Amino acid sequence: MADNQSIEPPLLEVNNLFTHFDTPRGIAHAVDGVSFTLERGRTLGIVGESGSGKSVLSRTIIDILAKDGSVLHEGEILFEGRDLRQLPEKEMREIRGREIAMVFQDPMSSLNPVKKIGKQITEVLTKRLGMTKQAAKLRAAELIDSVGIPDAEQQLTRFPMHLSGGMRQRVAIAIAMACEPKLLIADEPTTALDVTIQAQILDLLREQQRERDMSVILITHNLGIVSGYTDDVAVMYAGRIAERCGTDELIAHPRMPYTEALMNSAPALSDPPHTRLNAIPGLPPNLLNVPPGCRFHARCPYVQDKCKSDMPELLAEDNPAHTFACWHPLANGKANEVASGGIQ
Amino acid sequence: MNNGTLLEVNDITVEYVTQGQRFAAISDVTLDIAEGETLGLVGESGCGKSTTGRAIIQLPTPTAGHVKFEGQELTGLTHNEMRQIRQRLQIIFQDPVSSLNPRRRVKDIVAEPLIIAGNKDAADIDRKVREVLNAVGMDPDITLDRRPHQFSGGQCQRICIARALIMEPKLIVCDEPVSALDVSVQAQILNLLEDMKERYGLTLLFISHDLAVVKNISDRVAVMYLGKFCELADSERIYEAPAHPYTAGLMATIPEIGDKAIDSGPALAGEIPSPLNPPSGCRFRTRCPQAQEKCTAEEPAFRDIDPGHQVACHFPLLGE
Amino acid sequence: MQYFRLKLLHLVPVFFLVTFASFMVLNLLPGDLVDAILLDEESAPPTEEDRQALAKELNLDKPVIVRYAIWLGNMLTGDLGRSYVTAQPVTEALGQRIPISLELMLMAQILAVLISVPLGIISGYRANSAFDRSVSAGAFGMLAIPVFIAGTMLIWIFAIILGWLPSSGHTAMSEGVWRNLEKFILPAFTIALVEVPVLMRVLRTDIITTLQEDFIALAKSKGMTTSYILFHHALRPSSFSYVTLLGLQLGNLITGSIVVETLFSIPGVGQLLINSVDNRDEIMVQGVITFVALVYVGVNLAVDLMYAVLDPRVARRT
Repeated sequence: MADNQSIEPPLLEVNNLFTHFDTPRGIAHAVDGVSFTLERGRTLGIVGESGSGKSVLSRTIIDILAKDGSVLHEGEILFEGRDLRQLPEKEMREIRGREIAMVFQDPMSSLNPVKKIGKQITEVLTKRLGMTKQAAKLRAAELIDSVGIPDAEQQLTRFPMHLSGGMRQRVAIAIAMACEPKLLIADEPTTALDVTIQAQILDLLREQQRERDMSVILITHNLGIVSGYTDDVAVMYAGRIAERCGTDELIAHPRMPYTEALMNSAPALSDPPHTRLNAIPGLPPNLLNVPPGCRFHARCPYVQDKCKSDMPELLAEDNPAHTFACWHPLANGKANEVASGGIQ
Repeated sequence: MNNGTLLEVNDITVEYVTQGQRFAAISDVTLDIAEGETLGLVGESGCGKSTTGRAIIQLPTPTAGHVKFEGQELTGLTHNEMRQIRQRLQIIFQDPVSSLNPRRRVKDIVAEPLIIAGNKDAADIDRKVREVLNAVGMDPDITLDRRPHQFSGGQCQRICIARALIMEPKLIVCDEPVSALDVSVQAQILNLLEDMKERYGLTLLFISHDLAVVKNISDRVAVMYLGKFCELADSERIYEAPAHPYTAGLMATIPEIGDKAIDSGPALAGEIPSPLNPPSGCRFRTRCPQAQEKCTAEEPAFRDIDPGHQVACHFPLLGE
Repeated sequence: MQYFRLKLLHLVPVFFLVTFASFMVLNLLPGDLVDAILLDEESAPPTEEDRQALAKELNLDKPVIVRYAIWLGNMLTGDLGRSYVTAQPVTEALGQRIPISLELMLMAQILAVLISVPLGIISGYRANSAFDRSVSAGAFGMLAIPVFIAGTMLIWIFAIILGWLPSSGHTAMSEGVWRNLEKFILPAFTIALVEVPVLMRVLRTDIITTLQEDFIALAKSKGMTTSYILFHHALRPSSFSYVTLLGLQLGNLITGSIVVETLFSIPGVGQLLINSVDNRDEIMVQGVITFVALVYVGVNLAVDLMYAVLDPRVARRT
């Protein structure tokens, strides 16, 4: 096996993926031509604001969007070399939960309120792994214990309402870990939680990832979280990836003006009070009616004519591991010379 | 007005009854805000920061304690008297979309406080509505006849701010005004609030769970935990030299751009206890790395450790 | 449990209020009760003495409030009086009729649930599909058809044309289970047909809402099958309005089945009520109403109990 590792396909490879919603007001371009790869054991951060398509992307990968014809897909999702989009529903169900698991944003609504916590974990074990009820109960208690919830056995008979938000998110993580998935998608897993609890949950996720050598896609709007908890990062804007590289590289040398603007717009603790924030003017584009050219051009301080007409592709310049979709990228390491005033 | 103090809050307590049990959402909260100042109020869920903001505008009137605004006691006022005061004491909320009536046009929403106050001069109303909409960066010609659903969250928050500004209030209580917004839009609104403060000579009480946001906008910051104040100091000072272990722990857990591997450490392990049944003594002791016997037995007083720096801790952290 | 004791406490006054109100209303009926009874039985006109004797026997000489008090006192000891017409004890008459009506109600309700739950779930899951639209159209059609027409049509198809089932009557359970059951099938189905459209629509709406929830997305991401998700994750949280409605309809059935009992000649409580009203057998009518009130109270309690079974959060919200 060791010899084969070099030719083994990456865990996940997404090629030119589209997810469009057919709405009464037109086609919403939620995910619009996204490509990236994720290697085994790595954590990829997907960062973006609301409407960037990051949540739709994750739900497309695990294939849990509605199947009533209102959702249109195109492109490839290669998981260990197999295209998930071509799999029949029955085989895809084998992938869900066992190979790819998911943790959702709001633990208040992602656990079934009328089912005991124990049942919500054991049903995965009995239905998916064919465990006996007795064995599943023991395993569920182990899982609950492993995510740091005290009195594991007693928790099995409790309902979600008896637990705090942080504890519920721990249960959701235990459910996701039940079948030892190779890939965990965490969709804003701490956005609904308090800061002190957020740190605990992120630490727990990292600990689980290291123990199981799992790959993680961490979806967030918070660059601080990306900075602390991911190896690689993809910045999404209006359904497309705007920039993609190693996390440290992105923080140190952002090339796409949107990335820079996003970093500068959040207030930093180190800034003195009343520091003027570098707000990004305007609004993200309407996904029902995306503008031609670069999707960020209307808000970009460095915009040129070409940006308004031609859409830039996600390409590398000198560093092959650092790709960005921009006609006039920021110079490597310093501010862009093109614009005189910078971001106002 | 004594020494430019606009708002004085003394020992207010707000009690609720849930599940047949009485509990204090906030107890003995004391603060004052000077004219033109921004006081930040920060804490996690259930700490009582929003309750404090609402108690100040008498929604509801606190169970005990006093609130003095421009030297006038608010707690005993009748409904009508309070309505007069509210013209100078406005509030904006976290969710801008649900705090605007979806069936009304923007011009009616923004003009409403004027009309309630008895202004019948249509030309004057129109002039004022246009002026505030311009001030918050919304083009009146495009905005006036539209309804809230035609705007994004950030634009709705601008409309809410316009509605609050139209009465030219002295004080605005901002209850998590940017929490529902994206980072890029959040920065727009924070900048706008600073601009409006300058232009209209406002005083702000700014409530948020986000320490970085609070530090950015506030002159002084109060940190709350389980219904009580833990610490109050100058914005810069509280971040440079936090004296309460909770404040220090809270700051250590904020993920910042450029941080690697945030170490939440043992400081804030554990859960926030239920406000229905707070711990004895110091309320933070169950999660405090410095907790000692005294902390269980005796509740620490909220006291000055330096001029302008108050803390409720038996063993405050002293400068490094 | 505190919660249910409290509920029960609320329902006791309701029960008394209903029986009291019905007593008063019956008392307001025009005409003299003594005349009505005596004129029916004798060919010769009754003498004044006969009249007074009967009035005294039936306590009709006392004010209505006193009569209610006497009736209430007897009722609490289990004595609902005797029929003015046949002299049969009211409890005995009810005792004969109640099992028949209950069996009909139960069968109707089981049929209604068996039909409406799958229809509601599938229409909710496949909302706006061809299946959903045709089921909805059928449901609205059903709503427009009165019970007696639906019943007559069923008799015509299944009893007359196909000859599969008997058209009317009742056979005691002691003469064979199937012979008893087969006579209930058509009437029960008639009642169910009326209930299903409403039940189904209510469940469909709630299923659609529930399927939007995050916990359904989580169940999908766990790799659960669609049918498992629908029946094990979505059904229970969607069944609040459904159970409420089921309870309300059960209450309505007791009186609502009058038409069906008449149409299919089933000697149930409904028929007893109709006959008693015809004969001005007021004490019997009062007995039936008392029974109906009891069932309502019982069903109400059962529905509340169901809420707590369906959702653990209810039991906590005392």
